[in-house]
Amino acid sequence: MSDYIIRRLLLAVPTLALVMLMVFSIIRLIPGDIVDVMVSEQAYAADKEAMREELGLNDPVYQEFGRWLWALAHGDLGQSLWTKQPVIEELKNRFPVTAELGLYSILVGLIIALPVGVLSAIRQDTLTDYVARSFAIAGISVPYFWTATLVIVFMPLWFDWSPPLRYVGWSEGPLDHLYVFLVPAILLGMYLSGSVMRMTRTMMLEVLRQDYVRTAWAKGLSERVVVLRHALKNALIPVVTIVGLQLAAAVSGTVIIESIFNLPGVGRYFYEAIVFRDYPSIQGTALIIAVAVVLINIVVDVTYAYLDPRIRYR
Amino acid sequence: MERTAAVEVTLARAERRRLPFWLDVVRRLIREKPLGLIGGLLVLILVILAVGAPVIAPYDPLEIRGADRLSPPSLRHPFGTDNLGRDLFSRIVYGARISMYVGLMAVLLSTVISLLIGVVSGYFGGKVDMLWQRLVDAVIAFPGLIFVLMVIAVLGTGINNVILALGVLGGVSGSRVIRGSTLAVKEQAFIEAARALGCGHTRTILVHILPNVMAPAITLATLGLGTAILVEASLSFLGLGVPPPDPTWGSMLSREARRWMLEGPWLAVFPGLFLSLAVFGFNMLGDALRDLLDPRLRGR
Repeated sequence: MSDYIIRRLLLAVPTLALVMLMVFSIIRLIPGDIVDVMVSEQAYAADKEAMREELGLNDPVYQEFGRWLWALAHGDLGQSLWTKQPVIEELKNRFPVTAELGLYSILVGLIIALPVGVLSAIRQDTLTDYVARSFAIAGISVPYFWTATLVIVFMPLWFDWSPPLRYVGWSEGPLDHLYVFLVPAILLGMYLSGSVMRMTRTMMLEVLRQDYVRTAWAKGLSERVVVLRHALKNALIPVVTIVGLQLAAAVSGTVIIESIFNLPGVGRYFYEAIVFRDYPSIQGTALIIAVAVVLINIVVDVTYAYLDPRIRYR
Repeated sequence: MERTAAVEVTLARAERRRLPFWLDVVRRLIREKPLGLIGGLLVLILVILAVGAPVIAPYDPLEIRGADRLSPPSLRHPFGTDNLGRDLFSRIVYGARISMYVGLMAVLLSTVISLLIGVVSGYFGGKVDMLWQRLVDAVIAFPGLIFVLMVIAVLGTGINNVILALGVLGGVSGSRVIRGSTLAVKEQAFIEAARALGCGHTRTILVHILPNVMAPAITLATLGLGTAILVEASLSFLGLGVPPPDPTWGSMLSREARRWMLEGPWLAVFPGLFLSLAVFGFNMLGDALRDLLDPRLRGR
């Protein structure tokens, strides 16, 4: 097992190196003179020389890259041009909001996906199955920014209720704080449930056809025991992988959902950085997100290998 | 009874064998895949809207009529009008055109990239393959929308940059799927036979490998079209995709447009409905095609 973990970690090294190189290159790939644009349009610095210094464009690329990596190793992601705050501080403040949103969304997703996926599999090719599968594909196809728009527009019109659009911190009142996440988490969770449901259904179908399940039926065990104790346990193993992948998808989702519901998370910070052409913030945020995704993937793979010993001997 | 059924199956198989491959796929789509068929019909409607936009749309999608502003759905304006009095139905019909254009161009680009790199990488293997696979790892470490937003941050907004971003992303991640299929095909006996008969690398790739990885490529392209349309809409929704005044489904739902939606709730309904149906259609069709084209499932 430790062999497997070490191999998996080593494989991540070149990936992370390339991720850093890609993020570092963002400023240098911009066509035309970025400095002109930054000074004239955004007025981030008094003159071009100061701007070049600020963006780190003065020295040869390899020197700047070295300096950037060195700063990175010291936890320094540079300074936001817009707020003049260190990017790492901005991210630290915003991370809990995004993590919370992601966690609740995944929970909602699982609560919907697992029962529906199992039901769809044990009632294969019936009306229940077709309805469930259509819902799963609908979950993936219907954009959450549309469902969010519908909630914001029609809830006040029909029920005289509107979802909160102002963020409330935990310290200002735990219940109000959770209330803020209610609608965003449900909408994002519904989207995430689609893939998980489909994976659960596929794996359940596969497992239900195996000999040991037939044996369980033959022993006269009840449907509940066969499905939940015998089949579901094994079917869930690959579902772990898809849930991990969904975490990455949830990050994309937070950019949009946080912008709509005014949640001060990492996703909205990234969006604002792009609107304001705040390149150090764009770089820092993209880097942290990519590193997080790589780490999540490692954790998922290791968990998978732990749950399913066959993987380790491949 | 059993015997009759068996004879019928044999007859059906014999009859099926006479059909050209693609007609057979369409036939099986209609017979065996009700959800896929619905998807196919939705896609067909979308294509008709996109191609026939000038004929189907009753008004100019950009024409501003102050007198008609925010009028609810009626016979004159089936989907109502927006805050500038523009006919929403016409805008949605032209929006189909932009969505389809972005989707098709992005998928064309990504299919070329994924086939070119996936097949070469899988067929030759070695160091180039190793390096490319690490690059794929790095690109897919960025969640889809984050990668596309990074490209937009570098190149700026605009329809061509959106296409480029989506095409590169789809191509890089798709190349891994194509590489996997190439590896599987490469190990088969007929490739060895072709090589033994003196078939060069170029000919082997073009004549023997390529046709055998077309099935996953087509599935990827169909599902990719849905994704491309969805991401383009997300970008336009955020105001970072196709800039106004071009009527896109995403920008019709943007923060800017939302200001008028309490007065005209129909503005919130129709663009999202068409967007969802379009993505739903491509996803359904792609799923069905995956089942129909998968050689392991063929003939079942």
